[in-house]
Amino acid sequence: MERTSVINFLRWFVGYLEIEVSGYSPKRFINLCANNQILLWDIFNTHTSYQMKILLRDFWKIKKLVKKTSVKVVISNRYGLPFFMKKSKMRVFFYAGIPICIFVLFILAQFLWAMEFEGNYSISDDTIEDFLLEEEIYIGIYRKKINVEDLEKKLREKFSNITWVSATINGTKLYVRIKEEDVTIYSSNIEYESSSLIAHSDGTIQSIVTKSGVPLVKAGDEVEKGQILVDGNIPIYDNEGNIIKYNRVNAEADIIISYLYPVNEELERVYHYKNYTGNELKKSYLEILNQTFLLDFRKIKYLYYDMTEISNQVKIGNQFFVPIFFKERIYKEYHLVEAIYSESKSNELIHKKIDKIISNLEEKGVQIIEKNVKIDSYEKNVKATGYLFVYDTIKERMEIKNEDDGTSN
Amino acid sequence: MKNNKINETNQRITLKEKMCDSMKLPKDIMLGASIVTVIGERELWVENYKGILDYTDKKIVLQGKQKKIIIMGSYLKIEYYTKEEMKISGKIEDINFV
Repeated sequence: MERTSVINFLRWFVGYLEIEVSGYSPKRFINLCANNQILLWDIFNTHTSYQMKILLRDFWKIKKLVKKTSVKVVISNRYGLPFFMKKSKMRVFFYAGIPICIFVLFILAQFLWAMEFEGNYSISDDTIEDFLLEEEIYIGIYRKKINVEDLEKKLREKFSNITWVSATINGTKLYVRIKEEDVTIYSSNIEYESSSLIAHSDGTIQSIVTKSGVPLVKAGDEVEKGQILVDGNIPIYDNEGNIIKYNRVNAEADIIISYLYPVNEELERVYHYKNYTGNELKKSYLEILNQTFLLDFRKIKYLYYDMTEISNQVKIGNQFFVPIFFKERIYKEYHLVEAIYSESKSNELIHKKIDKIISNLEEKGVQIIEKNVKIDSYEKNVKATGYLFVYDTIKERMEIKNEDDGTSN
Repeated sequence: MKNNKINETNQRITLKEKMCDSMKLPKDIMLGASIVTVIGERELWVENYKGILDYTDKKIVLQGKQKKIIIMGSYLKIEYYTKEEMKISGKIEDINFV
């Protein structure tokens, strides 16, 4: 099927004629044509004559045969591009447009018009895009300027958790495929050379197990915020018990501190919600090379509205992206409605808030031992006040600076 | 005498045919036999022929290298016609070798 359509197109391209052959011996004419390598097709017999199709270039060859067989040949129809061209000789701009169009397409194909990232989970598309911008790779850049291998190398250097990266330019689109490390290996995340552990909150030390450094507190001690708990300065004594120098280390210890975590939450009972009226207005825009053109000059008469934008980039085929966007903005009208939460609803919401605080704390490794929160409902709002009794681990550090000379304490 | 000659020629063809058969040679080349391929009753291809003797929409007579091929039917149309091959479409009712 496809083959015949290709053949038909080629015939159309070179042009062909429908001729009517009548006279003494049209059959001999047909045979002679075949013998002279002249292709005939769609041969019809209409009682008085024969109708057939012949290529334009073959038509010039049959003159001899016509004479030989003394038949009469009448052209009944002309088909194909050569005749079409002749007919539309005056359409100069149409023909001029074809090479211009091809030329413009060719020029546009030299630039990058789209980017796609695949396989990045922890690194966002924006981050990669910003990095590419730093490397002077952006949409609209001359395609040949991009050094794909160099880009891969730079990506690997910049983002340490990328284990494999492949960048390819497909048509006018840049594909960056990334494989990230599955497990991030936490090497020591202490950014100081030497440091002490300090209390991040007032509280009571519940237990302390020192691994390195000098412990300054014991279990049961009350501590204040900012107090040094384990010192990273380890004193070295000489034989007479005098300190000759300090060894500086990063203090390491498992310390559990208990304190009261205050809870003070408030919830307004009055709230607003959007009541959509169902009225909406669609406006079309055309964006060419970052220039937006309004195609619709209707005014938006809504007081409050939500706007949604749908953007479609024009592309030719699957790969060829053109920097033209058709945009549609949908404006949806709504009225702001004031409402009041019922008592049970407001109680439920404030409980949710407290639960969120608790789950946030638990995520950080804080153990909740006791919960003591009172909820009071008022006309306008609901208040939750009280405290949580928690066990927390000490992670906060203070750097030991060089100029301290290790004698700060 | 005349009878003998006919017998001889007949013998010769069959001998040639037998040789083709046993040596598995293509008969269209060796014997100049026409190849007629028919698909259903609508399409028909002919290879190895010399020319058209008669053509109306009910009857097409082709001159093969040895025999005439008569194709009977209705709405017969020659789709294309070259020196090597031709295609006939229409309603084919009868194919005869004379």
